[in-house]
Amino acid sequence: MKYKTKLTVYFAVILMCVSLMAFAGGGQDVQEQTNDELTVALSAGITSLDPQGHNDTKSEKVSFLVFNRLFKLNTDFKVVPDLAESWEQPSETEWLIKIKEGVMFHDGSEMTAEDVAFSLNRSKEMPKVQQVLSEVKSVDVVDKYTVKVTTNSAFAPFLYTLVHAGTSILPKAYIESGDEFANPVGSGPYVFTEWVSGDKVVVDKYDNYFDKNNMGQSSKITFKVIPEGTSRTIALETGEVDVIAEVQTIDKNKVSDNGELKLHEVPSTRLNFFEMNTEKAPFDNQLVRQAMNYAIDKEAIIIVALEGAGIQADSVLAPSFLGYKAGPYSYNPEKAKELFAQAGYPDGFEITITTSGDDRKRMAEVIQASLMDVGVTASIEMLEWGTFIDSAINGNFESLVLAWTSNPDPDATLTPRFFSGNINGMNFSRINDPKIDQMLKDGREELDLGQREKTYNEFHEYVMNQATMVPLFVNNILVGSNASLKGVELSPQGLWNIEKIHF
Amino acid sequence: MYHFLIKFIAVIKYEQIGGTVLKYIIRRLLLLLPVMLGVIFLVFFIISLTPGNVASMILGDGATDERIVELREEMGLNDPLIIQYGRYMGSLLRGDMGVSYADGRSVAGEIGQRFPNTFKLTITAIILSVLISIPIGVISATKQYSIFDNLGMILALIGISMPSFWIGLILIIAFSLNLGWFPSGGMSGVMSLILPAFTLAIASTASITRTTRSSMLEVIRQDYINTAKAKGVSKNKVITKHALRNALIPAITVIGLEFGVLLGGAVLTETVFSWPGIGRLMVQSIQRKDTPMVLGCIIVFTLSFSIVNLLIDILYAYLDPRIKENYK
Repeated sequence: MKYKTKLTVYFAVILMCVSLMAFAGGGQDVQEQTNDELTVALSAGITSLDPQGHNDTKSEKVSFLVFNRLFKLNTDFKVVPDLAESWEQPSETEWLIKIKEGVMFHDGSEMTAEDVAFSLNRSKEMPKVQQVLSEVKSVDVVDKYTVKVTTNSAFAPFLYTLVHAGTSILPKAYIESGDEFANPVGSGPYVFTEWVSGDKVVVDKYDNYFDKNNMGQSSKITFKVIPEGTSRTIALETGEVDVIAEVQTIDKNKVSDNGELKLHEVPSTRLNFFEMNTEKAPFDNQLVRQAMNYAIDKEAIIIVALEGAGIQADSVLAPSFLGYKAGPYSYNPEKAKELFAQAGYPDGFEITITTSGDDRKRMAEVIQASLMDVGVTASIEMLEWGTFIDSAINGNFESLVLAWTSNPDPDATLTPRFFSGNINGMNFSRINDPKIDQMLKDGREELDLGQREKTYNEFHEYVMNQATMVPLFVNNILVGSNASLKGVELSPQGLWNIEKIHF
Repeated sequence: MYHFLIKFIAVIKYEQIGGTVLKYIIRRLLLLLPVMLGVIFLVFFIISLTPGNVASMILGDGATDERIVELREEMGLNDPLIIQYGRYMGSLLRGDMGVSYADGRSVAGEIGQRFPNTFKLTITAIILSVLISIPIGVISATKQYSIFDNLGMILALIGISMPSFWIGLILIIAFSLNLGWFPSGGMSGVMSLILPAFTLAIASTASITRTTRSSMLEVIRQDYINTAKAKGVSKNKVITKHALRNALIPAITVIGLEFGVLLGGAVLTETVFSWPGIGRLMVQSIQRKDTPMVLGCIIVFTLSFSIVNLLIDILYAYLDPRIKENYK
């Protein structure tokens, strides 16, 4: 009997300890959500509250609400002023930017040119974003509300660089206080409240926001991390979250068929491509590369690898970019065979497609099947991601399947990808063509928008004729929301202007 | 964990074996040091063998080669591995686990935020599975081949075979989506703990039940059980007092192992239920080649696993005085 009692007491004590430990802190925060609050699900946690301490789209969503930049992008990818009141160019390399007066930081201090110059200079020093303003030579304070930015050379994409989260304007005094972003102070429509690592970030509406036309619409926004795609969709269905920034493709119909939910879909800037190493046979032959553009069935790839959530790609950028022009190719196996014969490969050849990851493997398999129809035998080589990127950079491949998500200015993609100086960098095809280099330079330096558009038009035409890659498709961004939400907007970079969303 | 230690030490003192067992505990804790050193050493070198360049990963796309070389130099990544290891151990011994390569946050702070979440989940899951599995195991053994036994064993087999992410999703669909009883994920109070804890508990319940049943079957065939029965001891008393105490030893070993493993984070369950635990943190850090964070997670994992095992060993002594003799 003694033993039995002891055992019971023992279990009871453990149970008590455990309940105390397990439930301490729990329970009190059962969410009582009013209709005034918004919950947004993200697929991964943010990495930093410092807008200059990250370079990822999840952290960006929070940074955009808490901080402002001099300029921002609208949903059509056009640059519009945010903090900037006016700007002018005294010379090709100088920009005078005047900021709005009376912009108040969350700590009650007013933003001045001092803060702007400090922030832009800091941005150039921060490891994660130092490349954004690499063309900027110096930033100087002119008067209380004006700064002068000097660039290394005439640099057309300059205003586009100022929309990056890494160029957010921070209060100088706050950074110098050494708080290390435990309680970040910005000027944006929302004030930072709480960050629970791996779980959620909470921001509250800032009533003193300077831009009365773009005030936050919900009183509170919670970003919840839900890494698993199915769990995200279910959370939307149960109403635990109001918006999911990424709907996984297999749940597309589940969301669109549900009367209480709404699916938003827009082409992204993420271009998936089949890249050929122009230094290796048979891809050193331009005719072969062109033939590959006729040989691959892109529609099949979109259906198999993407459940239809994408659009066919016809050039080296997504269609939303300045100066975009579609290439001359369409799916035509006969034409491909003809070109292969002309190039001296009437009986086809063997190639290796290198890639990494399940999605890209599926894409490679469809390409493999397409190529079989035109007499090309492709074998697929799967590598671990780090090794794959190393091989791509070092040219240790014949062909590869990869994707590239572009920043809004065409130059930010085209120079890394096609400039001869970036061989052993992101110029995976290793194309080394003085004409391409010159066109890239012209595009960077042309300040007249119409002329710049023309330059890029020609660039698309020329580079598609060189055919260093087969553009496959551009992914669609899928956002799911509660059907009664208003103000849900998408740009090619995903969920946009979150401050405008409300019930 | 601390509460447990206090509790056990109290029990031991009460049993007046404090001196020897306390010495044993201290010896075991000291033995932990070489284990930790070995584990850190191995993990450090294994991570260094994985491909990928930390500096270019930190700097992201578009970083210049010069900047990458500079940063590698700044971070000391160009030094020989053994020097890097020495430097890491040096600061670790001063109690500094370093900062994450990926986001510059303190490793100790991040783990301090995440580990309690994993602990909450694990302890609830283990309690749940012990409360379910021990009675089922005992009844299955005493009524061997009965309907109850067969049913119990079939359930255990199913529990062991089903992958946790699948069970998790099914539970979410049934109890969150259709019935709306529990939140589908996240960490918001007691209700959000139940589904993930239950998911975790299912697999361990299955193995603990099977172990309890088989060791119970072995014990109730022993002569001393027959003796006790022959002396006219009631059936319940024979089972609870004479048989269970001995049969519990293998079951407790399994409980300890399950507990230790779960404390290392249950990646799949944490992912399905968006639970901000240490398992997800570790996997994410491995993918990012975030050496300080991975090492931090491994240290916590090794420590908690070892401490749980130590507690289990002490529990043996409490259950079986013969084992206690060995501790001297």
